[in-house]
Amino acid sequence: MEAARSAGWMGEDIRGSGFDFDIEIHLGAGAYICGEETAMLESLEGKRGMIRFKPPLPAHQGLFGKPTVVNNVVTLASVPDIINRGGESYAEYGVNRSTGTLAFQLAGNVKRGGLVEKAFGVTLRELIEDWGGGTATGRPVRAVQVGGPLGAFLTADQLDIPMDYEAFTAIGAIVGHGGIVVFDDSVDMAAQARFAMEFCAIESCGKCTPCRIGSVRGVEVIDRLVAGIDRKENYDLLMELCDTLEDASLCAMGSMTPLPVRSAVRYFAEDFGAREGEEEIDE
Amino acid sequence: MNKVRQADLGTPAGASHDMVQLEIDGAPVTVSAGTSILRAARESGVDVPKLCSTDSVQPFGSCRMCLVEVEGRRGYPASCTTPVEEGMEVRTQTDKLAKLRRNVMELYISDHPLDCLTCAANGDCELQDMAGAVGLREVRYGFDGENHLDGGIDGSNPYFHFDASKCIVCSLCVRACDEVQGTFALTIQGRGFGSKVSAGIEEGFLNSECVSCGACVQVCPTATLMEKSIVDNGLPDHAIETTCAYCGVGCSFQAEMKGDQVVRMTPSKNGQANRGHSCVKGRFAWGYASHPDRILSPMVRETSSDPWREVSWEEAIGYAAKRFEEIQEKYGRKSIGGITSSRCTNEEVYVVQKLIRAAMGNNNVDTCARVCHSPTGYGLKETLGTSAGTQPFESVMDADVILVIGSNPSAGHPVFASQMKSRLRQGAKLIVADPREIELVRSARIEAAYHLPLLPGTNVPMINAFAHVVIEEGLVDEEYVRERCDTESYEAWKASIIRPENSPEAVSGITGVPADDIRGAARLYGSADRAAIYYGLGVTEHSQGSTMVIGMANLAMATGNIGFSGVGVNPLRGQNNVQGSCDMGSFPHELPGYRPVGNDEARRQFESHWGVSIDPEPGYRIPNMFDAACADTFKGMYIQGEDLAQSDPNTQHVEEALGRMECIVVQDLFLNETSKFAHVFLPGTSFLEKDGTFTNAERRINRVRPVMKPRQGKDEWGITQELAQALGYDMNYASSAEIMDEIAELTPTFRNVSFKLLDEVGSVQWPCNEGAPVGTPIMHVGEFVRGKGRFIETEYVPTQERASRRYPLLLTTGRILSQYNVGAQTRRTENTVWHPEDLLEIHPSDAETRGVREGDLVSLASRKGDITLKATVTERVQPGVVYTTFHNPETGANVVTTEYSDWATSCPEYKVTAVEVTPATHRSEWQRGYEERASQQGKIIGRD
Repeated sequence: MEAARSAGWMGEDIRGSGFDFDIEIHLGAGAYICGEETAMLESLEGKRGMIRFKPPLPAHQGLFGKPTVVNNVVTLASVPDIINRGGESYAEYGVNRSTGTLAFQLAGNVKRGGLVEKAFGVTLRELIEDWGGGTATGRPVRAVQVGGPLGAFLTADQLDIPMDYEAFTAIGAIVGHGGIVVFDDSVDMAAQARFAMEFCAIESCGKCTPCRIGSVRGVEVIDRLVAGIDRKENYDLLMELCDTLEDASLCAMGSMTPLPVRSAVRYFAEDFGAREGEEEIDE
Repeated sequence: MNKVRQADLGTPAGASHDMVQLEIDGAPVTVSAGTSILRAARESGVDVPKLCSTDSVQPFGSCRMCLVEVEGRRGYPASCTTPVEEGMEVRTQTDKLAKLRRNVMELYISDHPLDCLTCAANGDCELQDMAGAVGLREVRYGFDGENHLDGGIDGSNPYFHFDASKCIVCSLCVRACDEVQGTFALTIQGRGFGSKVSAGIEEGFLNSECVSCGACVQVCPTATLMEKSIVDNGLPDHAIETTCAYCGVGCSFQAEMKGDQVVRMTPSKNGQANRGHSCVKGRFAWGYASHPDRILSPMVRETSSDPWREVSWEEAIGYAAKRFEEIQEKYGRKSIGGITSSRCTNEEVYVVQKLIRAAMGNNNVDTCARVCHSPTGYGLKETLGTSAGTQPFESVMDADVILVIGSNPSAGHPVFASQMKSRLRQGAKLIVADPREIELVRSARIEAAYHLPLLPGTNVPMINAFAHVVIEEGLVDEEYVRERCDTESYEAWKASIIRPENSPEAVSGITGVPADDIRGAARLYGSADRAAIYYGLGVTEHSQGSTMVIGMANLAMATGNIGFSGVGVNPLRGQNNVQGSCDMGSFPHELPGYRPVGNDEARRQFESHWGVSIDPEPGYRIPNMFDAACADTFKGMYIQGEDLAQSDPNTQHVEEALGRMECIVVQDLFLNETSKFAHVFLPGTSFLEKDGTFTNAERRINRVRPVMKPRQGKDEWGITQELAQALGYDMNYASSAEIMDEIAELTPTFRNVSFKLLDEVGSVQWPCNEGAPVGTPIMHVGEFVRGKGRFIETEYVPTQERASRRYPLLLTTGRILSQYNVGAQTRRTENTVWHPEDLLEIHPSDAETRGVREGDLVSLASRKGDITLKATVTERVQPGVVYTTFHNPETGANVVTTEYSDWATSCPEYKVTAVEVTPATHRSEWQRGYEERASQQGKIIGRD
């Protein structure tokens, strides 16, 4: 930014154009919830990072009550290419309605982690195996969480589905910001489901009841389920809790936490304490 | 279900005039645009469940109980945060919604104690109600999970407790503190499941910035914030709407009763002055009414050094009448008189002045307004034509610039201050002219554009400088002045104001305020679209009090700031009925309705109704009564509810005057400083026992309804009536309503007022007559009451009270939030926890040069007397100025104050006294005498 400013590409009267543009960077204090746009606006105003209800949308009433456009870094990263080569050229990348590219973030149990920008349509398998070099442990992939800590888990059977918003939605998953976390066959998916609830409990702003209390109860219910206590009742309760979180939460934090939980239960039921000879939990 | 809970429409009303039609559960509903679905439903009688919203604060959307389905929309939007739209189809009850609500409620109850049967809120708990409404039957999570059940109770506040184990973290308390009260004392600390309500930074309610207004307790949907009176007594069984008897805001309250005992006072949402808000005094400090100090039997004694003897009403009244008659026989008709009380109802005041005029046969009636707002009556009448403020309180919500002079609203008029603060948070600009840095100057989310810390006694040059800038910089609203004001008086005023001695630069040296600040503030006021002035006793209680009131009226007229909403000249009146007591003819020169006793026509009207002849000569004002008493020509007084000996200036002179009289009749709740000199004590009634009306600072006539029978057996107007009869005058009212009927008949501005009308419409602002059948919120609309607004020149004549080498500091006096006036009531409540004694505020530099440290005993001496009190060292006062309150009689703050007074109205100059402060080791001589008298003189035969 200093370089851009001193070269006259940022600040007042850019290159004599009479046009002003500047960037000011604010460092967050680390709260996950402040990634939610309204909590971020509250935080920028110097208040607690709490979710605002919508409407009004930030575009109408945002920072300090003024119309505000909130973009994430992924969006801004696509801007230079669009400026350089035009929107049409950018839209030539991708598949179906998911046009353009995304900077995928490879992490977890993967040999070469990091960022790789690819056009939509690339498969998880290509990303993990071709770009990531497979698992770091060399063991087979068992589960992949896509789209961040609130994203669904996919199984090894789903690695060939193309990165496409609609295709992912169709299987109850999300592309989200393109974060990819790889797990090998040693993963305990009940622990991952528990972690999803725990993450929600730790990062919840505490404003709405489903998220504030539900996430804590979610951890407790999974613990009972895994311990084999009243399995049927606790399974039903967990599913109802997921419904409550999804339908009644104020923001995506609470309403998306069921994604990893439900997908873990659905695809990896054996990890939730089903013992030899015990009836599988029915959905 | 709770029997007395006030209706709650869930969210604030939509402000738009556009109407929107929608369908809720198949029924058409029409509401104003901007209304929430929740409110639209509740307005049409559909009770959508809710926990975190109420109609006094903005919606929040946290509880998720009010979810609804909207045709064509995904998901389940919260009805509290979703505004209505034209043609919307809303479903509030479906199987899916029922399940969601039940499951959310299940989460709540999984972290809540199951002690409903022994809970103080049992029967008055929204959580309980909602659990019932959604049909919660089990908590499948069990009760062994993580919880807050060991959250503990903060019982530090004397009136309510905070039980953390019952908190559902709805944030209503935090939002009420922010939005309704404007103090921002509460917050949510932590996040997620660890979120909890914290007063300050875990300071506890008592030690935090909490002002104990009760707004949080009012909105709490559980027993988390609960009145201790309810914890102790249980829930009320009925409620009666009445009016608070503390300050001039005149808040409406629901007296919540159990039989004939008050268990809680809650601010009434219907109250047109307070709209559901309250302060620590009205909300909580009502226990004095049943304090053991209440005197419930009439008492007499031969001399003031004898012990009191309890007697029958007949004997007491007969004794008083006989003594008054004897005095009149010996010293003449004009040798007795009386004082009406601004604490009493209009009806009670009216009969006292009538007793004096009709039964005593003179005009020796005055009232405590003499010592507070008499300059307001004079100044506003002379310029605008009416002795009252121009606006309703809600007008402040339209003001762009607010000028506060000599008033500390957050202490003196807290409920109005909250409204003013909410306007300031919306962006109105604030100018404060006050010797002290009052709370408004810099408080949560509020900062005055200008604080002008003028020296006590220099209001007039300040307001003249404002006017000077307005004229000099072309900010006069010429068209307004031309059309609405007397231009001849305007030209004369203008010529005097524009003289160089009134420029900010010249005035700066007198006021001690930089010229640029005066200029900037004047410019801000003068160029505002709508500018409003609010003032208090810091304006009136000066030797130029009337000049200053006139100066403010001049300024408001010149800038076109009278006659519509958002503007005006607004006195914040001190006592609950000080406006009313003035209206009721309490002044020696005026009959009810401010008609001069010298006016033959007015007098004849009363004479024919009262069947007596009225003295055309004005009677004594309070200070004249004292002077005459010292000259042995004024020998008897009937004092209704005012403690002259504590509240009037130069205590030692007052005491001498009282001591020389031959019959002092005190009618009051408690023995007080004045009753130490009395011969007859007639016990009065508290506001809870009164039937009548109070008139607040916005001319609003509010009903005061009895919630219990008079504890001493008689209505106060009945006592006065019996005294009149004993003096041979046939006064014969059957009820308080009859007195109001007579007031209406004889007072043109009250012509339409009746208890029946008030019971129908809630309250009215006078004038209320043929031209304004339900009252007049804003005065001087289109035309001033006197016709053309009259400018009057305001030359500055400094007070004779000057600082000198011997008395180098200036003392100014005032009051604080938790105490009220002479403290007779508030000292008998737990409000003393906030203010156990009067303190002297002194600036660090003045303290240091005198060797005074925080908490030291100091002697405060003036030319009139000296007292000893504790010092507190603070920059709230400027160097050269010290400040104290007069709430405690043993302090004797008025031993120090002088008898200088307003040139027009004799209002004492409490606000300027030259003093010296020195370290002290013991109480002053007066104070030692006080202690002696206090132990000797409240003795009652047959009692300890």
